[in-house]
Amino acid sequence: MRVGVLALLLSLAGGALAQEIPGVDNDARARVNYMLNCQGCHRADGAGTADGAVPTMKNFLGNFLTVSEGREFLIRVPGSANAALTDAALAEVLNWMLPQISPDQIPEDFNPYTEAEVAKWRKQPLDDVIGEREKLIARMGR
Amino acid sequence: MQDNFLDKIGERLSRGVARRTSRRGLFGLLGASVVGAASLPLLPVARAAGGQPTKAGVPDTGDDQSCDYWRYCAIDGFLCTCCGGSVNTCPPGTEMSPITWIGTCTNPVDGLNYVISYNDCCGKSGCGNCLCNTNEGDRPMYNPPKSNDINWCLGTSSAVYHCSTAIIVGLAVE
Repeated sequence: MRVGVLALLLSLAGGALAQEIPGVDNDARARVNYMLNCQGCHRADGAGTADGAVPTMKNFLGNFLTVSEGREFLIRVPGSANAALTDAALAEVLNWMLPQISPDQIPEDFNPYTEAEVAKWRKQPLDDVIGEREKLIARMGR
Repeated sequence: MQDNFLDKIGERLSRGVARRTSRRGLFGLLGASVVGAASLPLLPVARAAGGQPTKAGVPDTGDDQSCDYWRYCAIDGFLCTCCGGSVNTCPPGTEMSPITWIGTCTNPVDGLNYVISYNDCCGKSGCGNCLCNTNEGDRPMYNPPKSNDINWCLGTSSAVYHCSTAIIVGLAVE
C-alpha cells in the first residue's frame, strides 16, 4: 500500500516535470536566473516583504495580465528592465515565474512573453513605478 | 489484604512487559535513540527564515569559521558561525533578513557552482568576530541588487546589522 502511494506520487511528480512551460526553453536555467536576479528581494515564493516595501507577487502577479498596460508593466518595472539578463532570458524568466508563483491568476488566453516584446518595452522604463502599479491595480476586477 | 482491581491490572501489565522484553533491549533502544539524535542535524530541515531548504547531500569541506570556507566566496561581514549562530542560522536574539544578497560559489569537493544566499542577521549591534570581505561577484553601489556593501537588514523589524549566514539555496546551471 505504502509503495503504491509512493509510486503514484513519483508518477505525478514525473508528469509535472515532463510538462513543459510555454515560452520556457530551459526550466533549470530560468529557475537559476530567478534565484540570481529576483529572489534576493522577491524571495523564493515571490511573497516579498510583509511591510510592502517589496510588493508581493505570490498569487497576484498574473492579475497584471488581465488589465490594459499590465502585460508590459511586468517588463518595464525596474527589477525586470534593469536585470542583467538578455531580452530572451528575461522573457524566459517571466514565462517561468508566472505559473510558479501566481498560477491561478493567469488568464486562459495568455500568450508567453517573447524576446522582441521584452526588447521593445524594457527600453521604456517607468518613472513612477508605485503610481503606475496602483493605477493598474485599480483597473483589476472591473 | 485483598488485591484491588487497579493492582491486578498493574501486576498483569508489569509481568507482561517483563515477559516480552529483555534488559538488553533497553540498551538497544537507548543506542538507537543516541544514533538517531546524532543523525537528526543531517536531515534536510528548512532552517532559514522563509523556508529556504538547506540542500542535503551537498558535499562539504573546510572550516566554516574561516573566510576561506567555500560558501563565503562573496561575503562581506561578520560570520554568524563566530557569533553564536551557524552557517545557516542566526544567533539567539537576532532576526534573519528575508531580503538577501544572492550569488554563486564553487564547491571545491564536487566542482559545481551553488547558489548562496547571504541572509543577514539583524537586531543586535555588529558582532565584531570573523570579519570577512571576499566579494566575488560584488558590484558597485549603483547596481544595488548585486552590491554587498549595502546593509541587507531589510524587511526585518530592526535594520541593525549583526552577522551574515551563507545558505545554499540551489545548484547553479551554466
